[in-house]
Amino acid sequence: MTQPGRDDPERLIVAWNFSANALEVFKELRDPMRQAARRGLRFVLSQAPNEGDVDDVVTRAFSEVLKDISDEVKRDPVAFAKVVAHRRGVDRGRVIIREREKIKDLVREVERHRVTGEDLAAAAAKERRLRAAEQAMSELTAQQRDVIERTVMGQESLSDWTLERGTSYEAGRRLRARGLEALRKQIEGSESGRPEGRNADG
Amino acid sequence: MAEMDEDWAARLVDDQLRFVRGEGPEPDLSGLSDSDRSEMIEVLNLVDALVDSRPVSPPLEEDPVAIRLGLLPGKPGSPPEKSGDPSQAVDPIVASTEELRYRFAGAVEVEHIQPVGDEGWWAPVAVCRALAENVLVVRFQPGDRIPSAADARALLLDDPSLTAITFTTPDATGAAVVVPGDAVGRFVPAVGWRAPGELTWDQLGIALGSYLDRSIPNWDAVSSLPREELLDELGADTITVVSDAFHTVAVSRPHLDHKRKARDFVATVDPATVVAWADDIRSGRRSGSDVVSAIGALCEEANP
Repeated sequence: MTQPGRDDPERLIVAWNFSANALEVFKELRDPMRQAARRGLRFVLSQAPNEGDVDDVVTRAFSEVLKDISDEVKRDPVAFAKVVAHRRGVDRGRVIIREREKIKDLVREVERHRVTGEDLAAAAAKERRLRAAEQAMSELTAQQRDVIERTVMGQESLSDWTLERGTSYEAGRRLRARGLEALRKQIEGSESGRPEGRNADG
Repeated sequence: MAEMDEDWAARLVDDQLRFVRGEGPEPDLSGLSDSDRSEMIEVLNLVDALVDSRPVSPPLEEDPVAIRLGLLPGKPGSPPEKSGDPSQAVDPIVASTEELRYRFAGAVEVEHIQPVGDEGWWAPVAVCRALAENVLVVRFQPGDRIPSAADARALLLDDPSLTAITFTTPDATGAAVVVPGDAVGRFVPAVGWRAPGELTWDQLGIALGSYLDRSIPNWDAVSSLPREELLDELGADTITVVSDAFHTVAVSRPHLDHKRKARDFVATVDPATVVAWADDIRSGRRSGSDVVSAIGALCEEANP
């Protein structure tokens, strides 16, 4: 699912510096930002986030990211955008809870932390892993791919997934772990240039 | 992960998923050998990287964020210089309120107000209605003065049917919602005297959307009853329960004549009939009263 252009950070940084081309920057950042926003919201709400809220968070975070002219942005725009979208997702999740509990006026606004080098490195590593995993997905069996795409990358619960197939929860859980292990070996193999290990379900 | 039990690995993946989604504690990796632990950490990091990356963004031309930010030439919300034809440029306030109508799937009704004559510093441009909400959207010209919560008081007093006022800039990038409680000074028992509230500024779609969100029930977030298929196993349980009950009746030795007759009657009934009744109730094909009528009809048939 890697989009064209996501592998070209130089081009992204050029587009950024000439921020007249905001659309170009948005094209590159929207998927990573949506994922980070979704995770931020989910981390606080403990439930699948509403996609309308995800859009709200991405809107706010993208405006914020586009205005930023710090060195962190120039170092790794995608990682920076992910960190900001995650923070704004957490903010929005907390706001939703405050609104639910009707305590909006009694709680101080969430403090906006500075994005540190450590945050950037962690977000960049996650993004690299995600891209490597997306490329390696084709090596999995159809069932492994399906369970990972729907229950890890998507919002479906493993209970629903196993119910649909008439299999036990434990069997689905083992299949998912085997798929992830196969993905790990595949990525490890492609990074070290040696052939990957055998896929137990293949 | 040669030494590691497959179930253990699967459980750790499950725990990691719950952890990164804020639903549980961090997985416990103690008890693993060093090599197993380092491999497991890689798998868990992979889960961390993959989680919630779906659904992917919609096609760019339909992406609500791009539309809202006016990034797409020729789309509503784009500034005239970015639109192919300046005459086709749509007012950003209209674009934002229309997006709300779309986002709330028709639960929000938007009525645009055509300005009459000289607008002055502010002008009402739209009314958004949703269930008990009736929100007036007021456009103001940003300059030396920015509206305060107290400014909304006159508008709210003028029309008691309004539940909130939304102030917005003409480009819809700065908007704030004021409810009647925020527009007046008031005494709050725990806090003391409070002046009209500070306004929180945001994009129009977000500010008004968040406000309306609170008043429209989000049925997706309400737990539903288990689906019918989840109860399929009840069919087998019903047969067991009915057969046991029929057997208990069949081996009973009642002394009273009418009870003996009832026992003999029950012996003539096929247990499958009772199972079918239970199934009909479960699937909603029959109500409890329907089943009582069916039992009555069965008795009538056996003893006219």
